[in-house]
Amino acid sequence: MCYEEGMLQAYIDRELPGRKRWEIEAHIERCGACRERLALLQDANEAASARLAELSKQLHDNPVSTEAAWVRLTQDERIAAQARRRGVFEMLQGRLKTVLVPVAAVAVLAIALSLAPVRGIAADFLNIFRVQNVEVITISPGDMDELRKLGEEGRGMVDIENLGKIETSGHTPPAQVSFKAAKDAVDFELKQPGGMDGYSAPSFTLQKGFSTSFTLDVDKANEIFKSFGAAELLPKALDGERFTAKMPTVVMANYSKNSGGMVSIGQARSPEFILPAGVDADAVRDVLLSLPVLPENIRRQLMAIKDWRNTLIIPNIDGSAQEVKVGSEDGVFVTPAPEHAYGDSALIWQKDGVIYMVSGQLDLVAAQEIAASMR
Amino acid sequence: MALKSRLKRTVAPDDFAFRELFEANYSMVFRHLILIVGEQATAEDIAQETFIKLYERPPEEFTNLSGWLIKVSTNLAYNYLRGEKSRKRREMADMSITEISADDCFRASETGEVRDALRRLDYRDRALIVLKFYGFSYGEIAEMTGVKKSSVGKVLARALEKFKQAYERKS
Repeated sequence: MCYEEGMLQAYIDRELPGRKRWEIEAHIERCGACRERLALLQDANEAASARLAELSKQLHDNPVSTEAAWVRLTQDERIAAQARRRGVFEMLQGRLKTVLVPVAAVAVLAIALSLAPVRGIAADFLNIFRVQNVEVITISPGDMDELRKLGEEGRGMVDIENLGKIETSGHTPPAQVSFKAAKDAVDFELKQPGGMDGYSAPSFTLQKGFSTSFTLDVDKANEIFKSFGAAELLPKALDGERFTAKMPTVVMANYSKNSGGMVSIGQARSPEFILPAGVDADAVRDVLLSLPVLPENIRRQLMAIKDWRNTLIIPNIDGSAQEVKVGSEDGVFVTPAPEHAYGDSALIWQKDGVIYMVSGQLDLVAAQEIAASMR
Repeated sequence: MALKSRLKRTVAPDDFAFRELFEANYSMVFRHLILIVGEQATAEDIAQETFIKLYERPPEEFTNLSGWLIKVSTNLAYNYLRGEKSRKRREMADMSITEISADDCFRASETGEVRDALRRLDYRDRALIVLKFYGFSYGEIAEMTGVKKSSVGKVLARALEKFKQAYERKS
């Protein structure tokens, strides 16, 4: 009995069980026609492999623009929608999120951090806070281990969504716009860098401002805090209170480097944090800072920030963030951890009520040069 | 903690965990899709869809992430090409034009003869050849393309023959 080509192909591809293989081998010994068919097939297989190897080499020689694909991906509404539900300041510029610890107790820190970057303008019935300082706190490998351990014990698995309800309004996906449209969308003068030699003309992305509210469920939050061993709990009066973060309109100017890679320059007003009437922000802060799960070293640094209401706190993990000067202003330079070779670094500072960020695969000097050239 | 839960918990689009996976795998997925769908813009679209799937519903195991990405992207490409084919058929019927290449989207472009030859194949044949070249088993190929496992050998043998002819005619 002769074998049709499908069977012979399966034989070549070693897809047949042992017994079938032997049958075919025995048959081929005797049958010239099958032997010839097999030889032709093998020939076609080898030729195809060789050609595909060649083609795949050709394709590898053509660079793929991963950077552009990444930018496009992050603009997809499905991705943006998930990002929106997360922390607070990272929504202003997602890249900041890269320095946050991707492990346990993030919720606790996130609350501490998102309440921290605030400034009380004691309005009669609202507390409105704005960022005026940027400060770095150092998270040591020991702290990281502590946080990680919590995560492994399952105690760090607290999503901010378990503590209350999050609502976002007015959010639209970022859009590519003209320079004029970007200019018109903000109430301050956009700055542009001077010498961007070797870069394309910028494209502008506009993320319109929006607001996110968090309605606290005190019982749930306290239950979780208790499981952390907290002695101090949130006052019952906070139940159902709405905390609002107003995210500013952000303009990003994206310069592609001719040799690949990209530099992005972001500009925005400070986000605002609005606490409801009569909420004692200090009391909330005290509860959060007294949580026993917070490593001592982090607690001490958070406590030491005097003007905590108007300070944006950037965690420094393994030397990833350092306080630097940008002209006469204080700024922070954030670098990706060494294992993330392709990550972007970012230089962040604020001047005259506007927060600026220069990011890309830049070292401090290069980022400072761009920052200094901005007019 | 399993990478999956890490990813689930922490992936915001700018998170390193996700970005790292994206940067490590995007060009592989894109090149694969260029082979399957042929056209750059379509390959980019489907590559993006693939990573959105990774973001939204990451696999249980990350031990063979590239295998997972190839499978998902092939499935998406297949759905697209199938839709494209029937769309063209409908358009053809409307316009009563008689000749059609099912794979117009694999349009002539930059690179050489091999690509030309591959381009001339039906998308199913093309996918089978490419997936076999990567070393997938018949079972996996069947799962990705919807060709019955017991027919993979047969379809593949014919596809390879057509590929050879297309290539030899060209050169």
